[in-house]
Formats: sequence, structure tokens, C-alpha cells
Amino acid sequence: MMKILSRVIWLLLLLPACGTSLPKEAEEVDVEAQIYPDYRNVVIPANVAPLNFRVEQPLNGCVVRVSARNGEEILVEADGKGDVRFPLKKWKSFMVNHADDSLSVDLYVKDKSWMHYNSFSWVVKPDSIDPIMTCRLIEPSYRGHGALSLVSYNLEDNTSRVIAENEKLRHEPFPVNRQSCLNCHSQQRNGSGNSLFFYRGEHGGLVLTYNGKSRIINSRVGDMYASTTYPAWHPYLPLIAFSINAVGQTYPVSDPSKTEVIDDRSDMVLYDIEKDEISYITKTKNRLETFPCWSADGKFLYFAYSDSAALTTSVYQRLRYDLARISFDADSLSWGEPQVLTDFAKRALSANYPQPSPDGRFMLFAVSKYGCSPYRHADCDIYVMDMEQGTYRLAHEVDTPNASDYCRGWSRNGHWILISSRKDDGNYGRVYFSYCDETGHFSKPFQLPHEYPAHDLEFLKSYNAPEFAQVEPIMTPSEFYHLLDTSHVQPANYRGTMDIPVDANSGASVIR
Amino acid sequence: MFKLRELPCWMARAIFFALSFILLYFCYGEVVNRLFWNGYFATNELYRDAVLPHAGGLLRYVGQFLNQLLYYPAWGALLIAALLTLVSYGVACGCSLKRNLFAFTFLPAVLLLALYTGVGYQIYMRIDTSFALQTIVGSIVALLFACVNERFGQCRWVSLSLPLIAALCYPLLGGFSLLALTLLLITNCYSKRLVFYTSGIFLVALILLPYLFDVVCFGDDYAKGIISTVLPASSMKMSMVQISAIFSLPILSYLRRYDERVWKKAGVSQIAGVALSLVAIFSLSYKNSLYFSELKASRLTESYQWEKVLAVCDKEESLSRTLNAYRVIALANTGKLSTQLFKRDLTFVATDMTPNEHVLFEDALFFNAGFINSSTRVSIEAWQRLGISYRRIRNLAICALINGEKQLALRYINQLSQTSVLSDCVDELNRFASEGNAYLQKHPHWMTVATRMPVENALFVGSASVSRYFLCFNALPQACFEFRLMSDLWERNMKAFTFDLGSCLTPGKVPACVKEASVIAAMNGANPSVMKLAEVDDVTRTNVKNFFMALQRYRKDQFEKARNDLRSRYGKSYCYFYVFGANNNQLKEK
Repeated sequence: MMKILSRVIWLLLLLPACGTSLPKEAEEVDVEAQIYPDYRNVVIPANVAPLNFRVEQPLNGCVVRVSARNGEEILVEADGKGDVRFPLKKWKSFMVNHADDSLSVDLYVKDKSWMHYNSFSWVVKPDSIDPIMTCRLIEPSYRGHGALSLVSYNLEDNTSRVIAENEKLRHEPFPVNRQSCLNCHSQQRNGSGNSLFFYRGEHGGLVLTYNGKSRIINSRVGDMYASTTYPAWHPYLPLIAFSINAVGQTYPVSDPSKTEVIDDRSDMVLYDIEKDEISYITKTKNRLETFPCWSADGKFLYFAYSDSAALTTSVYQRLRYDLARISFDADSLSWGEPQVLTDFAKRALSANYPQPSPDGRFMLFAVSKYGCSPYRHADCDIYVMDMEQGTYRLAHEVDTPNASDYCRGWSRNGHWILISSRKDDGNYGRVYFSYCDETGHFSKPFQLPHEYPAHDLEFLKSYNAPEFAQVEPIMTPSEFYHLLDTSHVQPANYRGTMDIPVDANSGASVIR
Repeated sequence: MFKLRELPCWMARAIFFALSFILLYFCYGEVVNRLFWNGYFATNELYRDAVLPHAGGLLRYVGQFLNQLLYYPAWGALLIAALLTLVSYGVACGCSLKRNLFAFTFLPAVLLLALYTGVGYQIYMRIDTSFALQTIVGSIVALLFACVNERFGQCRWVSLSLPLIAALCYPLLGGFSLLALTLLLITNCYSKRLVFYTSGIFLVALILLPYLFDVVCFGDDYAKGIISTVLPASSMKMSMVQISAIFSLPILSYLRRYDERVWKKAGVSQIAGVALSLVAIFSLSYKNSLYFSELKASRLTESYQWEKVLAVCDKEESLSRTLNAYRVIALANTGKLSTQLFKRDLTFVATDMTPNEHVLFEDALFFNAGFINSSTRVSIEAWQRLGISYRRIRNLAICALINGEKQLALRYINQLSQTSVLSDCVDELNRFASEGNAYLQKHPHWMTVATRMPVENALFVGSASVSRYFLCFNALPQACFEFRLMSDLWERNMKAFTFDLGSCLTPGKVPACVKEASVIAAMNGANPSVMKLAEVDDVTRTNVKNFFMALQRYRKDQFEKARNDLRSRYGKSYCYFYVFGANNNQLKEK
């Protein structure tokens, strides 16, 4: 209803724009116009939503022309604030007609007289980007949290909707407050809509939607010292690999990163959805394994690995990770031997967040000076590994020096990558996309488009843990609240050996 | 036309207006000021889209827009007083109370006034700072419907269209459209006019509209628009006052029919009305002087008026933990920390020299102590839990600027620039952003903060007070030496004290508390040379010894008695704090 209403309003507002025409006389200026987001000279998918932007200079009028090689064009007039918004229908048909074309964008800005700035290009690729991106919205956060929401953005039409939120779980002035943390929305990459996220706290657990049905599972079972944390859906089987992390957060008094997340302990487990059973993948005492990610064929599980466990927080800057993988046999559900792939720790660097491409040729990962929370580190860089040759390089095309950037995933066709970056101001996480060609080179990243061009400029929340998704998530806030009210949190079955002492008479584990 | 016989009514309204203004400006000015700084309004599309698409969204938007005017306390008080007077006038017109019930027309306005005077410590909680303005404006709109109905109700199309318009206003006004409908229904019942029609619309509006707009249109809970009208405040007490104010309108409207029978003598009813209003405002108002001092000290701290902060603290007989925190920061900024800190009885002040971040979310304290990262953290955590506000955004902007994070600061400055009342603040921050650290020379307070910033990194796992922060560094900037030494004394860490003494002392200017502490340290086994270093004289040594000898006269279970007996003579000395300070649990055990 609101959408229809707002579209009607926009339509009315855009009516005057129907007669938009280029100024008859315009002085050529050899300057590039400043626009936000910076969509100048980017490669974009044909199915992307309108790249609305704001012209960031004083203006009394502004006309934008997007023209194709065959002379076809769209003309749009900016509003008083300099916001340029392309009509969705017109944009879509234009993009479909000009997939695999290079578009020229011309800005005519009127200050005292009309000026024509240097044009820039939009290279349209026919390879489509995944239609949905999900993420959590949070203030650039510390230990606390308030209202959190998991949100899905439709990359094809600039709409968004809330998947789940905890706003209504705050019951002030009443004493019961169940406003616990929500995190890590993740969807299986086979278009099934199977997805998960966590609702932490006393009444929480792993909120799993599988085959259209949702339930809450207690995924801390047996002798697990922490609940499941970072998920990785198997590409096609009903399996999810998780890391389990005993997370410690500290707050540097004068470090620009302001917060440091350190794993005191971490291992990996596998959750078999159909058996509702959790078993260990790795269970090591002096080593850390985290950030699992499956290869597209499901035969390998990649992860970050460190043997510098048991460090105290005072020497956290010595905690360094390398990338490793472990083979998986889907028939017998058995694991091979872990294989370390990099030697960053030896070189006093730390590698995290492995993201193998769908065709298995490349792997993107994050490299920083230390630790497992590179998203807070300004020195965090994006690296790309050629999996066939085993070589890697700094992906300078998409990396911003002195800003935290790291890759959060590949589109299903392997042509688009999703980057989480704090390059805007060092604090607020923003989402960018970049095109990857056959040789493993990337285009200049373009920012997540919005209906309101200055959205990310004025939005005071970070996009946390963004991920591609193929279908719109099934969960809605009302379903989530209903689920919390009606379902009991069921513990998963545990398959593994117990490390904690067992009472000899009763067989029960000894509770300390 | 102004009628002469209405002159007393207008005079009464003028008096009410003046009294409301005086109360709000002179007695509750700090509350009004804080309600501005804890509020937030922006002109951008994001904010509009977040506020408007809910039942009652327009009212909330207008309330938060008007809340900006509270930045100027006098104009704010004038605005509120004028709106409240308008409410009382609206009651007189819309409820058609006879002259002998005139005093009762002030009752809803008085209850609405109590929404300001009754706000106590909830002001530190999650609170929609414009909740009172929303209620006032909503009531005025509802009364406007009633007034139009009274004035033009004879006209058929007016009486037919008014209930319909009121019902359709639900998405804009939320529960206040139902209030308007209730007033129309009562009037129509009284005049036996379109009763079934109005009742039908009322029922539809009560049952169907909340579903249609709340659930279908806005995706909210059923009747959220109604509930949020009366429960925007985080306090049950304030919500009860709000409900009373809202419900008093239909009750007064209903009273019109009883005027002749029940209230025969005008004088009695007027006195009853005035008495009820006075009792309401007196019993509902928050009067704790410590609370007002804390608010004042907080405001003065944020504007760096240290001497005035100290004056506020001096006026209070006993200090709260919060007030003590402001006092400590003010003392540190006036160079009096070591000479004055223990000159007050601090035995009732709880554990920390300054509160830790979870007590009050006082980012200003961490900021002024030079802990920019911690101040940022406290601001963000407060924002997450209690909501975004001008004061937090301003603090985040200043912290980012001092930290050299210009782009981040510009993001926050952009937010502040979306309210016209903060243009001076925005101009100053923009100048800082463009000039960089050179601007610090022009702003001595921020310069002081910059000189206090830690020179080495340290990690904190949990919450800690500023004094504990000072104790964790090996190296400190010179500007923090005094703070560090006083933190040693506050924490009774004699080992750290003797260690820091050499580097933190200025020869010839050793404060009395340091001399006393040196004697205590020596008595506890430290090298007696510390007394020489601290330039301890015989008088100090004798005083401290006398104090401990006096203490020995009391048995273990006479701790309270000893504290009370020795206060008059030793209450302003460090040795007294050393033994009786509220954080001294260990010595209490001994």
C-alpha cells in the first residue's frame, strides 16, 4: 500500500520531468562532476536497479543524459537537492536493450549558466547479479546493541524489506526485555530459500528455515564451549558447517579500530539438518579454525586457521591466521586431512574470510596485520588467489588503501563480487559490487544503489555481514515473532565425544 | 467579538500562561533543555520515511519538529505555555463547559504541564522527548474538531463530514483521531444529533481502522497507533499522567450536562477546579534537587563552564555519584583537582571517582578526560540503547574531529545541520573540519582534551571508570599527571602512588592530600623518603597520626560511629577518605 502510494507520489512529482530536454547552450568544462555515490566509469549488470545519484555541487538545475551507442537515451532532471532518480520502468527497459553496451552519462549543470561536465561511462554486462542481498543493520558497534534488523535488499528494483527484527522484543516500561542480538543471515546458494540466522539470548538459538518451515534450534550441545557462530551452507546438501567461537571483545583506548574481536578458542562443526545432528569437523585445543566457506562443488571446506591460540589479550597483535581447506566426501559424510594453503602468519600477516569463486578458479580473502576481526582494521586488504596456480595478489582494483575492505561473496554466475567496505569514513560499513572477468580481474566497485541517492550518506547504521541471495527470504518479522512465541527451542542431537568429566555412576556429565 | 463578561476567563488564561511559562522556564528549564538535547529531528528523506509511515506518524513528526524549539529555553517555555493555554481554551469551547465549571478547563492543561514537570530520572532512559508535545498538539487537534462541531454543528454537512474526517485522520493522528471522534460522539449524544451515524463511525474507527492502517498499510501491530499515543514515554508514571490528560477531555465534555444540577454554586466549583489543578501539578512534579543539579552540571560540563559546575556542586549538601563525577572533571579543568578533591565529604559517594560508562552513559566525562575512543563508545552504546540524540551526535562529531577522522565527523555534522537551531554548533564543527588540528588553538577546551589523549594503547575488556583508565597506562601525557595521582589516591593504591609521586609532583606545590597520603604510605611500609619527596611537614604528620590514634579508640563494630564522630575534625582530609570512603570495603572489614 505504502509502496503504491509512494510511487503515485513520485509519478506526480515526475510529471513535470516528462518534458525534460537538454539545454540549448552549455559551456564545456573539462572537469568531472562530483556525484554521490561515485558511479563514474563503473561496470554494472543489466539487471541492476537504477543507479540514482546526487550531484554534489551548487546547482540551479541539472539534466542528466544516459545515451547508448545507437543514440537511444534517457533524460532525467535532478531535483533541487541535486538528486537524480531514474524512473524504474524506463531504466529497466533501457538496460535490457543495452546489455553488453557502453553507456555514456552526461551531466548538464546550471549554476549561473549551463555547463556540460566531462561525461563518464557505464559498461553494462549481460551477466546478471544475484537479485537479493541480505545483511544486518547495526550501529558501528561495540558490545551493546539496541534495535537490530536483518534486511533484504532487492538489487533489481531498489526496494528493501525487513526479514526479522528485535524492536518489538523491547517491552519498556515492562520488566521483561527479550531484545537479544540478531545476526548472520545466510541463505543456501541453490535457490531453495533455505536460510538461517541467529537470535541470541536466553530464548534464542539458530533460527532455521528449511523446506519452507522454520524452527529454533539450540546449536550449543554436548561439550561445545560456545554456540555455533559463522555459518556456511553446503551448496546443495542439507548440511551447514559452522565455526564455534569463544569470542572476546576488547576496546583499545587509542587505536583507531576502537574495538578488537579476539577468539579465545574456535573450532568447526557440521550440522546435518535432516538428522538434526551436530558433529565436530575440527576439535583442536591449541589451534583456531574459523570462517568456514564451502567450495562451489561442495568437495572442500575452506577456513581460516591459526596455531597461535591461547594468546592473552595483551599480545593480541600476534594472533595471525592462514587459509586452509579440508576435503569432504559427500557420500560417506567424512572429512579428509586439513591442508594449509598460505603462509601469511609467517610473514606477520593474517588471512581471513576465504571466498572461493563458483567456478573454483579464484578465491578472494582478506589480509590484515593481525587478528580475526579485519573488518575493523584500516589495513585490511582484499587478496585474490588463482586456485589453479596457487598464486595470489592484492586485488588493487577493488581494494582501498588505508580502509577496511573484504569480500563477502560471489554471485551465482561468478561474475560479481560483494564487498563490505568502510572506505567512506572508516566506521560505517557500506556495500559495493564489482565485476570479475575471465582472467580474475575486477572492475571499479559501485555502491549499493538506493531509491534515495543520499541514503548511505545519511544512514547511521552499518551494513553488517552482507551476503548475496537468490530468492527473497521467506521469513518476515511477524513470522519471527510468532515463531518466538509459539515454538520451543529444541537442542540438536550431538554426535561426538565429550571432553568434560562424566559421572561414573549415572553417566551424566558433571555440571560445574 | 470580545465580550466583557469573558474578561475574567481571559485573565485566568493569561495567569495560567504566565505561571506555566515561569514554571517551565525558571523551575524546569533544565528539563526543557535536556529534552531538546535528547531529541532528534532531521529534514532528510530517511528520517521522514522512518517516522511518517505509522499511524500517528504526522503527529510524531510535528511533535519532534516543534521539540527543536526547546533549544531556546525561553522560546520553548513560551511555546509550551501557549499551547497549554490553547488546550484550556479549546476545552472551554469544545466541551462547552458552563462558567461555573470554568476552572476545570485548566485541568487537562495542568496534567499536560505535568508531563514536563513530572519527568524525573526517566530523562536518562529511552524516552521520546517530544511525547509531551505530541500529546498537547494531538489534544489541540481533537479539541478543534469538537470546537468546529460546537460552532457549526447545526449545519448538516458539517456534522456529517466531521466524524468522517476525524476517522480518516487516523493514519496521521493515531489515537487522537479517536479522541476527536469521542468528543464528537459525546457532543452529538448530548444534542441528540446523528447519534447512530457518529457511533457507527466511532465503532468502525475503533475496530477496523487500526487493522486497516496499522496492520495492512504500515505492517505494525494491531492498534499500535492507539497504544503509541498513550505509551510513548518509558515510564509508567508518565504514561498514567498522559492517559489522565487524554481521558480528562471526554470526561469534561460529558460534564456539561451536569453543571446546573451538581455544581450549584460557582465559587465552590471554581475552587474545587483550582485546588484539583494545584494538587495535580504539585503531586506529579519531580522535585529532587539533586536531579536538577545533575542536569545543570551536565549542561554546564558540555559547555565547559567549569566554575559554574563547581558552584552547582558546592550548593548541594551531599554529592551523588554523578554529581561527583562532574565535580572531578570540573576540578581537573580548573587545576584544582589535587587541592580540592578530598575537601568534601565523599564517604557517601559510591565506588568510582567518576561513574563507569554503564551508569549514565556520560560520554562528556570520558571526553573531557581525554579518552576519545571511550567517549565514542559510550555515545554509541547509549544511542543503541536509549536512542539517537543531538547531544550524542555532537559528541561523536567532536570526538571524530579530535581523533582526525574528518569524513566520519562530516557524516555527523551533516546530521546536525538538518536542524536549523544548531547552526552555530554546525558552523564551529565545520570550521574545525576544514582547518584540522590548527583549529584546536582557537578552542582551548578541545585543546586540553587533545593534550590529555593517551600516548600509548591499552585494552579494556569490560566497563571501567575514568580513574581506573588512568591507572592502566605506563606512560601518560603530562596533562594527566594530576589526574593519575588522584586516581591512585582514590583507589588507595599506595604502591602506584609512591611510584607516580616522583614524576607527577611539582616541587613547592605539593597538595595537602598528597602529603597526607605520603605519611599513610610510609606508615604502610613504603620508603620514608616519600615523605621528603612530598615535602611533608610536621603539622601534616601529626594530624595523620592523631587521626589514626583517634580511630583506634573505636571498636570494630563502631565503624559508623567513628565516621560520624571524626567527620567534623577530619572530614576534609585525605586520611578520613582513606578510611571511610564508600569504596573502602577492605578497610571496613578490618
